[in-house]
Amino acid sequence: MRAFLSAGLLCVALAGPAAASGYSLLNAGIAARSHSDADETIRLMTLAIAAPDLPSRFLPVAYLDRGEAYDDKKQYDPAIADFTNCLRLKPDSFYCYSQRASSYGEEKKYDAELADISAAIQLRPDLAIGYLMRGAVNADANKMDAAVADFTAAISVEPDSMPAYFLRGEIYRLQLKFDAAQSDLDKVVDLNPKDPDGYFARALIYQDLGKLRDALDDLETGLKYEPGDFDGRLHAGLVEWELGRFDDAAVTFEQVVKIRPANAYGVLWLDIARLKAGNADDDLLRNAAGLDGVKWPAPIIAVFLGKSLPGQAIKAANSGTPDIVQNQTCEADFYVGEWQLLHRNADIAKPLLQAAAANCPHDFVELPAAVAELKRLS
Amino acid sequence: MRIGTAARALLAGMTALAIGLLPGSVASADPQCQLQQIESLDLDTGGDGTITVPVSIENHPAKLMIDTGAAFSVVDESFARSVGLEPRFMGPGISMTLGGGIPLTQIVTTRSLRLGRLIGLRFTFIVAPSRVLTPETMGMIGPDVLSSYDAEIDFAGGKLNIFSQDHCPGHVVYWTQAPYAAVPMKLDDNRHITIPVMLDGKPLTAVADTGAARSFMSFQVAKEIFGLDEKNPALKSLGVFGINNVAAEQLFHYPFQSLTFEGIEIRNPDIAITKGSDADKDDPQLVIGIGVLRQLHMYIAYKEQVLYLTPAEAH
Repeated sequence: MRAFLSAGLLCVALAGPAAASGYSLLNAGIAARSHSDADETIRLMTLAIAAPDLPSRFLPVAYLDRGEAYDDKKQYDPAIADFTNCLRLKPDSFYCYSQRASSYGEEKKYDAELADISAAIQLRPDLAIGYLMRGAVNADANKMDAAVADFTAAISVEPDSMPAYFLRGEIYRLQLKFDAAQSDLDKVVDLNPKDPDGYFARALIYQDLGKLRDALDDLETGLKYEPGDFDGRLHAGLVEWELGRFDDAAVTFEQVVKIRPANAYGVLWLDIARLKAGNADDDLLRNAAGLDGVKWPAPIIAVFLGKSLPGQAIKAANSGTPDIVQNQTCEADFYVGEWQLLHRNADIAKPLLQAAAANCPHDFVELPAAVAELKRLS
Repeated sequence: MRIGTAARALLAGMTALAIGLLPGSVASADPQCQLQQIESLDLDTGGDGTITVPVSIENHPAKLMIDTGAAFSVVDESFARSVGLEPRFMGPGISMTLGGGIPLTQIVTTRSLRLGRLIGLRFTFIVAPSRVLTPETMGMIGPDVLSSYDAEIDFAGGKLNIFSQDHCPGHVVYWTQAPYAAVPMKLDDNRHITIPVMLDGKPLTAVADTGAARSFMSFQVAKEIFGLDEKNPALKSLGVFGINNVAAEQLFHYPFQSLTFEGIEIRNPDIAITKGSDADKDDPQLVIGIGVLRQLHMYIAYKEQVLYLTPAEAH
């Protein structure tokens, strides 16, 4: 210690609120934000903003961090107000635009969300992140061509943008542009060969193309990197089922039920696969005990448990908004069709499976399953 | 940032050239030992407390983070391309990694880099992949630039002041009559500021890193020096946090009481303990990040190799 400090230590502390300067409150607020402590961030930044000695150049940071803390607490109106204050003081803040866009999105104000993301893109047109954000919003709004344009723009500024290829590939798949979709997912796998999501997504394309063995290879590769992935494991079981490998499918669905015992679809598929393989047991009773007995697809489970009639499940599906009715009817048609097949009622099963194949949304697993079953029946 | 031997040799030559072209208006040594201020730049503070300064690259406005913990100055790849700079590979056998294990393989050479009145006509940046940096900065100014000068970072006053190194030893703390600390510092091969500190009464070697959003030490150091392990009830998990938007490490908080720099004390310093790979023997025992440094007013006398410190709001 040097002589000029012989009087003792000179303390710099995060002072208590009573004696704290605006600057020290701001620093404490930044620290609280870095700890993801939303309440403490809001408390400290509110004090900092009100402190008469806080230089105005620090106000944008205080508003930004407090706005993010409000957003964390799902208090979107005060969050938007803070981001707006941030932008009033610092109109070139990418974060204040992008964070306000996110809060607008949570409030389902999509036009405002898009406007803010576009403003952020104006600030950094060289970055992929803005285009990715806008593409995701456009995709959610079912503006698929606009979304593809955004993801393509992201790739043009960042040629190795894995999320851009992934998201664009997903849209191409939904648009039934399978070659383009596969090309994008090939790139995703090339860019990050240890990321299971690329394999899982490409497996969907292979499945759509009828390349079930390629799909299963990709799913198995993805599961090697993420063995506990519920969706990947369920998908692998479904592809095995489509291939007619019911014993393998049953083993895979057992793992699915272990990963997420309360998921009714895993329980249902395990029962169907075992019955198909000729290995019926009473696991369904045990597994179903942990399921929600009211929520969809409970009426279907009840049919398989022998507690209600197939017609009751079909009737129960016809309840809710038009989208919900379409989805539930797809599932009811397929699973009741399967139940009828398992009870050797092929004549009753066939029109139900045909209805599922005709009406199920493209991204529902019951669609390819119904097609595969009809193929077997023919 | 770690750098292999071949890269260090190559880049040392590049940066020396670049710095030679940053003229400034440096006067000869003043007989009165007065500081010669070359430039004063406004600091902008990010949401995590890190600081940027306005610059111009190829006559396009940009913001670069001040990063005393980098090895070299870095520019974002997409930004570089957008202003007409074409990245080129450094060459075979050259290895560099950014925090989080991000490989860096390319460089660009600007025709014009301006920091206020300081102008570099051919300055070489390392190129970082775009997803690595935050959208509010286009890169980092590292010690390759800063260490050619003395750098005063006035966090509370919002200024980066750049001075000539031609001055008498000491005589630099002009902003206050209050006591100050003069901490002897060493510069490692990457010109990182390595200083002795005391943490809860234990001596440590630390690096002052304005580019680190957090202060941190490894679990290995926490165990060896403070006897801490994961079962310590005072440890609180902070969760998993990314480094440069890619790698992720589990962090813990421990309530350290006091961090002192030759007499300046920070009470209750916010220091994370990282559970990642074991520390390398060349790694500092403690990295002092922006959360702690923002509570100080720093004057980095690179040539004199002394770090002058006062409380941030001393005047």
